[in-house]
Amino acid sequence: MDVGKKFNELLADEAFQSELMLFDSLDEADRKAFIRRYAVSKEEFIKAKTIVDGLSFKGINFSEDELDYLWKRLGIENPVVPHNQGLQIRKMVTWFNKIAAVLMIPLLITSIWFFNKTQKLESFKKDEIDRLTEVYNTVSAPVGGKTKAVLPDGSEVWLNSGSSVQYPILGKPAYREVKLSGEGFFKVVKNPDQPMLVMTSGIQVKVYGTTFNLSAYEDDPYIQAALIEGEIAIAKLNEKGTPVTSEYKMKPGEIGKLDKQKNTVTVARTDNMEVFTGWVNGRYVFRNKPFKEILKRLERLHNVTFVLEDETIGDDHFDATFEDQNIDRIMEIFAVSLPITWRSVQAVQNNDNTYSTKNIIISGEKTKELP
Amino acid sequence: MQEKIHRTDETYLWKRMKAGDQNSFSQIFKSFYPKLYAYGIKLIPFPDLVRDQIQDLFIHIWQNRDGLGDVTNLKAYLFVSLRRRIFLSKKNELNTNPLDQLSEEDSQALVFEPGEFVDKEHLSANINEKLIRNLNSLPVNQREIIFLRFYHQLTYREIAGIINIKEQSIKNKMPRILQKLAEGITGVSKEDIGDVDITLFNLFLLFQKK
Repeated sequence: MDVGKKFNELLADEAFQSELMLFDSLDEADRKAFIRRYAVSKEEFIKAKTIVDGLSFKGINFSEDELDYLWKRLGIENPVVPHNQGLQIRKMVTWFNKIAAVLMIPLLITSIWFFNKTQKLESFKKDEIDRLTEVYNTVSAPVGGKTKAVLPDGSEVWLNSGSSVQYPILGKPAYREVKLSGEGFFKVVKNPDQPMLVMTSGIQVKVYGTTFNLSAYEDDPYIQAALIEGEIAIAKLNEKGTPVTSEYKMKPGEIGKLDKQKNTVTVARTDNMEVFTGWVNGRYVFRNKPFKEILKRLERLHNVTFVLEDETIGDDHFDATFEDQNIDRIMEIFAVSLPITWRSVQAVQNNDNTYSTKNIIISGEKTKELP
Repeated sequence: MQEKIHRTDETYLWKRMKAGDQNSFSQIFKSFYPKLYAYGIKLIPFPDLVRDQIQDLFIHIWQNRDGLGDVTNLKAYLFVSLRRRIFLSKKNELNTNPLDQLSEEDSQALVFEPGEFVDKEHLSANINEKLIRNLNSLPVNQREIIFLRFYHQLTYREIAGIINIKEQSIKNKMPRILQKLAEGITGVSKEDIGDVDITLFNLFLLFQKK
């Protein structure tokens, strides 16, 4: 019985539990590593996985409106809402059927059958690409600007600063294939017989006619697909651009995210789609993001370089919303809201006649009280 | 179009709240309310009472903000505060003794139903039922540990702080609790697991060294 006892102790291990809860989002290499590290037998693993899966509780979701109402009812901000009104609103709410189910990519559904099928498709696709390499067209947006591309099938792509799409002038029989670097907002014409395949350096997105945003900047830690309407399916790619996971079909309102460092793909719901798509209309929205991430986005949009004299402020988290406008104006908004001062160093001409980017130096202002 | 930027990390929001900033307090309120509700409603199955207790807790925090210290783990702090409040309210309403721990008389506390779990297609209804039955047959204090660990994903240390027992004691108990949970799930037959998990079996065979 010693073996059983040892297994129960492993099952009770916090790190083991935490990793097992994430198991479905791991790729094959990480799964293997996990099984080796803990040296569990097949039976033990199945048992442990069954318990952890069986204990996945549903979340309870509250809408923004409801939380607003509850907040106002505290009476801290506004006069107390009359009680009878409270009862009416209460009735309208059904707690348990609004579920924030944490959606994990059902990698368990990977079957050998599916894997084979994908590979056949891939080899077929490769032949086609080889045949038509010369007929690609590229549209790019300059750093600091945006542009719109219309693809041969009538689909539209808005390209964010420094991004480009490459697409074949001749449509291919199986897929309309498009390569994206950087960030693009896609409105894809529906054609079930010929889905569009958007390739990035880390994931592929299969599109059946829909609207979505895809952000795949090389220097970002994440590749993110945000689905507004319709249906897309994402799959993780290896260095050769071949899918290494089964496809996950996303639903509207979901964000599929590849974490390049952890090499994991996760899917979650968002209540604030504008964070992902606002840029198309010139609105930049951030929710609970570190300051340095916000600055990185601004660097890309305005072709400037930020220098943080006090590194620690880069890790502070913020909500932020601003319009697409002059960078100096945006810095003014920062300076009123945050304990910082800033100065800009104008671009200078280098020896080789190129210009350096404009530098903006940000320092913490110790004397100023936090807002 | 309004433009705005503000900090959103917990330590900062708490500090701002203590300085009297309503906006920061509203953010804390909105981000923790759903989690607190999900916990409270399992401690006592009366939605109105849970809502009132959460509301009172936040009003209390706001009114006493000057006297509150820095909080390093806001989630654990709010959970333990709500738990205490719910126990106190029960004591007042039901006229029972003050309790630090849940008692077996709270027959409705932390009882789980199949509808409260995420559907996992690869788990058969049979296994799901068995697991939930095993869970519900645990002592109520043990159910609370399981709920805090697997639903709220708190660490053993945080759970220990919330239910007021030693962390080591949770660590000692856990193997036995999980063993009881797994009872009857040993020796799962292929029919029980269903088709999809057979794939996992296959995958596993590939992983194993010969």
